Amino acid sequence: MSQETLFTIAGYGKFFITLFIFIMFYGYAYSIYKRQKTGEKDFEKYSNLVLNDSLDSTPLEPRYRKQDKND
Amino acid sequence: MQSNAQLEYDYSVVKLFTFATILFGIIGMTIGVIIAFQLAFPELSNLAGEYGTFSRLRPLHTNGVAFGFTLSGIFATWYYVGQRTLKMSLKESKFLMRVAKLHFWLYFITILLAVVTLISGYTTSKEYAELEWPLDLLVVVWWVLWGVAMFGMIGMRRERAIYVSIWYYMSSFLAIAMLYIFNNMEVPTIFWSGDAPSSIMHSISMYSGTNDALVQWWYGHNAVAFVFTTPIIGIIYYFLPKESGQPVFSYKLSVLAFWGLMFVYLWAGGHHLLYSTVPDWMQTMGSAMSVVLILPSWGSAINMLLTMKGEWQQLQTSPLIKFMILASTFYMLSTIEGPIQAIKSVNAIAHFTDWIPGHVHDGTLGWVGFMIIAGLYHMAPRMYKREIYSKKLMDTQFWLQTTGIVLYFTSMWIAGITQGMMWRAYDDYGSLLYSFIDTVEVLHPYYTLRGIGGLFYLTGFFMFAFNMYKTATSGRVLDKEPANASPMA
Repeated sequence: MSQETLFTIAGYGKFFITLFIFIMFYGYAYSIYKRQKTGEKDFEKYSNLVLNDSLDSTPLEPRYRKQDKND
Repeated sequence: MQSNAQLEYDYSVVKLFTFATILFGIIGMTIGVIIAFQLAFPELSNLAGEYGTFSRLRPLHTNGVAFGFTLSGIFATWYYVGQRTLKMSLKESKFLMRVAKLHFWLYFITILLAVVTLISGYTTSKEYAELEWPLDLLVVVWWVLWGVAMFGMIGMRRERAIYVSIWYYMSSFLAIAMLYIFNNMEVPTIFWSGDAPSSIMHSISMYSGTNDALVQWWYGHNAVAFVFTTPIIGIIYYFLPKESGQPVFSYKLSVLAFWGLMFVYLWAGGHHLLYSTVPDWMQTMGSAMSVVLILPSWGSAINMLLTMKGEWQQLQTSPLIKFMILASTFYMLSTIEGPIQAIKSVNAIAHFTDWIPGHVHDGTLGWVGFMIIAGLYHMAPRMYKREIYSKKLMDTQFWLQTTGIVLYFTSMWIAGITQGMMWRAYDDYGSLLYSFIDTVEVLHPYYTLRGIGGLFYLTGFFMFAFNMYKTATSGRVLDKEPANASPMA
């Protein structure tokens, strides 16, 4: 294969990989904004993980722990 | 759920790393000021024989502030932010507590050994990867220990959702693990040297020539990414909302900026090798990715500034908020400056000049240094259960250090551009107009100004160390933990 063909393949490869990443990223951005808008998931509530971070405060989304079951 | 009324967060490891942050900060920054003055007054290089030369002290400065001061600050805040946002205490697991303590002591010993070996002249000569192979192995051990502690803590969390700061710390752990191993692939010569003279403290890189340079700057630039950027973003995403009592302006933006940064940063290292022997497309890609980096970087920085929306009066009343807002502003400045320098035509002037350390220092002093200082100040009343000793001293420190940074980067901007222009100037016959020493003479006042700026910053750091010491030992005792704004006398 000639060097020119290799460069051409590499060029198309770069373009399509970049396009793929572009679509993935903006698709993700659109999906989280849409989910927030339709009320499917509230992303903004996670800010409270900082504001309510004392050990005795109620977790935002509690997680089952083996240790806690034994108490 | 278990009642945690009797359980408390454990700050013993946080305190150890806080001490290391201050200690290594003093060492690394003092050496920085010395070498800045050595560049202005070369006779200062002869004060301590081989041990006082610029070439011995410069790696000590960079390693001291990057892997001593900054990493300690990252670890200190990790063990604090990690416990609090995951809602678990290190007290709940003897194993994790032991791992965390072992992490500290091995780390501390490694950095002390780094000081000794670098000043003795043992170096691989790879920038920011100077430590010789026995120390590299030690680094791997405590890096893995950090990972065990990190994922152990995540595994024990009560909170299902993992806050965005933790994502940033995790990215730092994973990326550095990969980068560090690949860039430090080296052959200890003692095992293969036969009868030729060698030393246990000597190795050669597994890569050679251009490949070595490529791997080196893939690592080198991402040391900036995953030591000076992502964990520091993790720090600001916790401490600014917490100190100001304001929710993050947009959590969605924080998540998007995270993924953007993760994808783009790893490709930008090529900009260190513009106009060198690496393939042209890699240089172009390095430039292009560096420019794209503006988006996720500014995404986080603007998110932080907008978090203060409607609460800007706090900037007048709290020096701690001032530190964080200025840090965010310096982050914006250095993340617009970096991409500009990475554009090929600009780089033709900027490369190898003082504009580069100027850029590095408005990022490290303004962004990294200020955020770590702010994080430690915020943690102090919670760790020591005492009020911060002096608000006035903190405010004075802020202004002194800010003046220092401005002196540093403005002098280096002027010096760098002057230098770049003089190197390229030629007459009608194509002969160079200036010799190298001509540029050195012109730059002397700017080098002096840089030294003075550094001295201001260092003096401020001593004020910080004093304020922290007094807070821990004689601040007014608090009867309960402050919710948001840190109390200060």
